[in-house]
Amino acid sequence: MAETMRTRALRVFFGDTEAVKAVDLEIHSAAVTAIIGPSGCGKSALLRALNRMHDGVRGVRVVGRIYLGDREIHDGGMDPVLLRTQVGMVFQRPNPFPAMSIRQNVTFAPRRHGMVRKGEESNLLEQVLRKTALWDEVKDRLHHPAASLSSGQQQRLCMARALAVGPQVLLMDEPTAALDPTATQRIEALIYELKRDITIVIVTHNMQQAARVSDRTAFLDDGRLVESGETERLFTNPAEERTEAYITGRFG
Amino acid sequence: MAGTVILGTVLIAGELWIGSLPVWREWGLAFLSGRDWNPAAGRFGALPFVAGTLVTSTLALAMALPVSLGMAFLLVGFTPRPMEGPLVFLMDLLAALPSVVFGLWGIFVLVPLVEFRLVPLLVASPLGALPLLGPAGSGFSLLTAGLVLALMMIPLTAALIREALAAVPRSQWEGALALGCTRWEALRHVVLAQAKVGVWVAVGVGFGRALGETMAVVMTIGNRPDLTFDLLQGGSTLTAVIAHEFPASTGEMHMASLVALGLILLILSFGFHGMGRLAILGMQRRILP
Repeated sequence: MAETMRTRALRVFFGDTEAVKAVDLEIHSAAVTAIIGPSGCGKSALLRALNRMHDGVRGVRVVGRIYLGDREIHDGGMDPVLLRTQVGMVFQRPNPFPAMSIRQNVTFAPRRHGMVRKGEESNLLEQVLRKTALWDEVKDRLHHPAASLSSGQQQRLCMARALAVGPQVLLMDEPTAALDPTATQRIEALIYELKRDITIVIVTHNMQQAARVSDRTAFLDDGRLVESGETERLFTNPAEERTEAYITGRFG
Repeated sequence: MAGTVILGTVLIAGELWIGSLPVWREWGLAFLSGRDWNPAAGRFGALPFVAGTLVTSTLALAMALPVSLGMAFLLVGFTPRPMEGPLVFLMDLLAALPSVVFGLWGIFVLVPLVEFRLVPLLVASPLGALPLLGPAGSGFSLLTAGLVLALMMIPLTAALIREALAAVPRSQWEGALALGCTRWEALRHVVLAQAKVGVWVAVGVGFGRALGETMAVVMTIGNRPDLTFDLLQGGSTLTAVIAHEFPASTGEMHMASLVALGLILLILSFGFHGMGRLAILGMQRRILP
């Protein structure tokens, strides 16, 4: 069973600006949690705190506690490098490594981490490329540069790459913002498939997308968690007026 | 503007060609492979200087490149922001230091250091068995000139490599870090791979700088017109012999031979530059869609 995550009084500061304000968020296991909210509400800042992508970035400070299962991810025993093999991330713009082949993009990290023996690399490659519905499209050109793929394929390659290190949780930061509707649809279908084995958190500014793919939704406004809960309930019967105003399109 | 540059280059090449005509008339291409350079006896051959230039430049590049890569890595990946500015400034300062200063430093510091410390160490080490290291001579040698050239090259190549690394988009760093790579792994395997073109530019510029460097080499190489690949012996380069002998050239053929060496240097520089350009073009084709 994939791990859960939760945050307690999580704050993220960019310089003096508090971008995320005391957020307590529950992320359920093997389910999709969508984080929605207007631009600049702190969705991405919150997401990036979950795998410590803010570490070492100048002027960014993270305060509060974040748990992966029952381990606090800032604890001394937790190495951010190790954490990121358990909490993977897919970004807004597809960012395959252009100097590497399709195959190398996937096998690079598992090989570096000593997770896979030479002979088993091809199995792993096929497995994650099948999971991301890329296998049939690229199996005859695995040695081609990743940059030769369409941007939708590149984004699925980035998902495959993230899955190859075997994460418990996959964070997705507006993964379809740079894609056309067809490519978006394929990614959404994938998310639906993947959530059986893995916990997914997706940041999106597209409410239809949140409604389509997620089991739970968290609505963030001005850095505060206004409301979170079952997606169906939140969209049909929001508890907060602010949530209703946002999902009915009165602001944002 | 571009026309002026091309015209200027053609005029210079033409001038060198005309000035060196007596050489080509007398010996033809045999001048290039001539091993003997003896102005008093009227014998002139280019090979010792072509070899000296290539040996010292290659030696310098071989020593400068790892150091430059290391420095660029440190600056891009592991230096706290507040320190980055001063360090880059220091490097730019070194790059702007006149070569005669490097030459003086070479004479007073490096030559004795090489002669009394480095060479005994090298000869005693397993490297001493290499044919490149013969019996120890004075500190004025190909090795010393190569070292000075390497030191002059490092600020330049390190700065160029740093820029190339820094130009790689943040999203590539993040992509690698998000897969559980350390900063080192991200730099070494992802960022460097994309800065490859820039690294080759740095190699080309650095090598070109070494090929053409004159003053610091004249001051440290020993200026002996012998064909040798023994790094511990004195030697000379195309630039060094021109600077060293031109003021006291002994006659028409001596003068024409020095001009001919200048022409060879010009062609070598252009050749390496062109090859570098082609290599870079080829790489860009392969990397970009």
